[in-house]
Amino acid sequence: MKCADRMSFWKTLPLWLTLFAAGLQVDAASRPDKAQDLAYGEILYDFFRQDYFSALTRLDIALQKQRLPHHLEEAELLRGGLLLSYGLYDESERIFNQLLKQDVDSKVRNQVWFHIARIRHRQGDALKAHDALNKLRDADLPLDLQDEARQLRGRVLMDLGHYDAAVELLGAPSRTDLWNAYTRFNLGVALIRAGEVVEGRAHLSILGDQDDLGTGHQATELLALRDKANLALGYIALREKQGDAAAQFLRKVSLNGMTAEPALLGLGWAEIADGHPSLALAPWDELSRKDITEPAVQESLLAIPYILIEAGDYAQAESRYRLAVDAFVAERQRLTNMAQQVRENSIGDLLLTVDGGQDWQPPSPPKAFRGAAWEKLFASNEFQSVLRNIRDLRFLAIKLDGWQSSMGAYDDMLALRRKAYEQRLPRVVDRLQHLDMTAAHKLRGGYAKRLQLAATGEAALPTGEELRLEAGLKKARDLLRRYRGDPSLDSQREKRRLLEGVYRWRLTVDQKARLWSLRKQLKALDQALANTEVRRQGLEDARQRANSGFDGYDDRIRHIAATVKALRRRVDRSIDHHERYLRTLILRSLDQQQVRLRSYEVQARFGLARIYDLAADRNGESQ
Amino acid sequence: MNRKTRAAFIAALIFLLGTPYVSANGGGAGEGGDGDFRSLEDEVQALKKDTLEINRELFTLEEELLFPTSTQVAVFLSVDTGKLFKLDAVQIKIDDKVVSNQLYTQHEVEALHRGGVHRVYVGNLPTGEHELVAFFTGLGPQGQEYRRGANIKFEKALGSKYLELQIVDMEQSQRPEFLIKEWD
Repeated sequence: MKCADRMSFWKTLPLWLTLFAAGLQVDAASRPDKAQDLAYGEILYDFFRQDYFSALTRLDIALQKQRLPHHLEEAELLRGGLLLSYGLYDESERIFNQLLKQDVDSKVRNQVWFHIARIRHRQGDALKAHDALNKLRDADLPLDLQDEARQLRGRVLMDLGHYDAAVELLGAPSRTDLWNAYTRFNLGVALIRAGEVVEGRAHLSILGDQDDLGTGHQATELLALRDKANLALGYIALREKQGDAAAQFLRKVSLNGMTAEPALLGLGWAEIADGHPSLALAPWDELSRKDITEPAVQESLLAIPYILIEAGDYAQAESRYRLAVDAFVAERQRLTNMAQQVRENSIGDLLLTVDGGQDWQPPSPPKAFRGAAWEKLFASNEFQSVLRNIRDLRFLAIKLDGWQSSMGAYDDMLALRRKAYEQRLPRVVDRLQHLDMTAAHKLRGGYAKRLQLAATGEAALPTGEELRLEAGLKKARDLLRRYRGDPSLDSQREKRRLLEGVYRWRLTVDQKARLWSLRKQLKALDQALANTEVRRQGLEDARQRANSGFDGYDDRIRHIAATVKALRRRVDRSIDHHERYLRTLILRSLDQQQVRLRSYEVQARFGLARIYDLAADRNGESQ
Repeated sequence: MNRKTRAAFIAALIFLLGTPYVSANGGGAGEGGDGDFRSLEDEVQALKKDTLEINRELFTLEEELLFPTSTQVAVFLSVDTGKLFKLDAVQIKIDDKVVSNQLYTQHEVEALHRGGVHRVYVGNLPTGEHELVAFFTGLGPQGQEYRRGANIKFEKALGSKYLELQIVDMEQSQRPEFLIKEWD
């Protein structure tokens, strides 16, 4: 990899990582050459293990301690990505706004903004989603994301009430049949909402008539969309009292799909509107055997006896009204139990089966929580966001509990260090007192002077053995000098001269080697002296720290312990706020269902009373 | 059932059909962000930020208390592409004493292959000369069991000492190499 490419890769890496964390497209084959700072590699290790919390902590510390000299630029971008993964969206966006400049790979930059737009849209913040979408160019996104981006733009525009702009945007064809179907559906809805009902219906009709759905997953999605389109068209026709047209649309809806129940109900009403009340019984009878939690099924339980009365079959009508009353009472009781469960339990305990884990996978609702109204609420972005917050808060609570229980360990660590210092301090002081660096430097100075003299030939460099030999020679010379006139000592004089000559010759011959050896020893001595100085300085520092350092740690531990405790209380309060919020949403939904069921029950009882009145009238007439 | 109820039901269905736009990723428009919902979001973001900050302080405190710079020694592990050696475990000895035995999960090995660096060991050592020996266990180029060692003698001065164990694929010899790098 060329240097420039490498730099570009490093610069882009944090953004790839952001996308990786978001489950968006990443180049799996890409791998950085190697982190040039160990701290950066450590952050990546935590990141790839999906431990974003640790990665973010390490990154902040590394930035604070200047441990990322080679990766400073990308570290800030990576911080933005990690903050996004951790759920600090505002701070993350602030960083991206500052750093996602034109020189960053446009494909990656666009995907990051697209990811942010999706998050903002999921949060129900159409304005921020719109801002993020305005920072990207759809054409710079990978092909399969371009259609999704357009859909997102369309939905955001509609959320903001800009239906005309949404219609204009969604008018162009998409790349695949599936995206075309989504586009057409959203376009139809946008047109109807913009007041262009005829044109909107035309788009939904094209979708509703689609025959070739292909195979596999795409076919399932296309079928669901076709059903939705036909259902919408059927009910619009019904509202306009076009029974025949409505029935035609509603008959096209699949009986196994998500929209089968309202379609069957509408079909019955369409037959009545078209003047064929007897034909309404078949779809409604089919519907009445389905799950009572569906509003359409509840509606059918009332609609069937209504038709039977119209047909004069009072006995059957009475029986169906009784069944309806029993079903409504039982369902109301189920909802009452459910409400009690919601009031008495933690929402998190009820709905979150797994704690922890960094990636948010919406949990499946518990079995007791079944029904269309509940499913709609559970699937809403608002509900999911609050539930996810509870999950995240529980994660924080676990962390804070762990820290709270380990605060004692920090005191122990400090006590241990303090004790160790107290034990070592007398030895340190003693060693410092006995460490006479001045004498050592003086000795070194003597050696250096000797070397200097030897180097200029003014002095020799005898070894210890040779010095002893020289002393012996001197002693012999002095002795012989004392007996200067004695000829009997001539041979000893000659021997001494010879020995001294040999000695001087040896000194002269080895002078260079001796100089080299001495220089080497002097160098080693310098190194040893330098090391000793470093250690002396270390001991001195340790002595000073022992007196002043621990108080600071005491304060820090106390501060952290107090902060952790306060944070834990705040987390509890926040969990409580979130639980209350969700509880209110759930109870409100349950209450609405209860009110509807109560109303149906009253209508069923009223129907029964009407039958009894009619029967009484008839008996009166016959008597 | 009266006609008024029926009309209300139909109107409700029309409303339900019209409200959620559809997307390939599911999730229609939410209930709408009201003030309470936004304040919950803000509350969670503030808590996350504060928790992160306190974790940073704890992290720093722990490092300072347990592993002061003057005595700190840290050993890191990095892995090259990992084609010629599939890492299972690393054992580290310092001055002939086992200080770390690390087993790696598939997930952790993948994190290493993607460029992550793992801090295998952090401890304290006095100044002076020390010896580190590392043993790497895993599967070799032909999938056979493979155990290799590497050692280094290093000088611990007053500052922190960082050593990096590197597992490198040597393309030419088609064998993994196990190196130890000293960081300043």
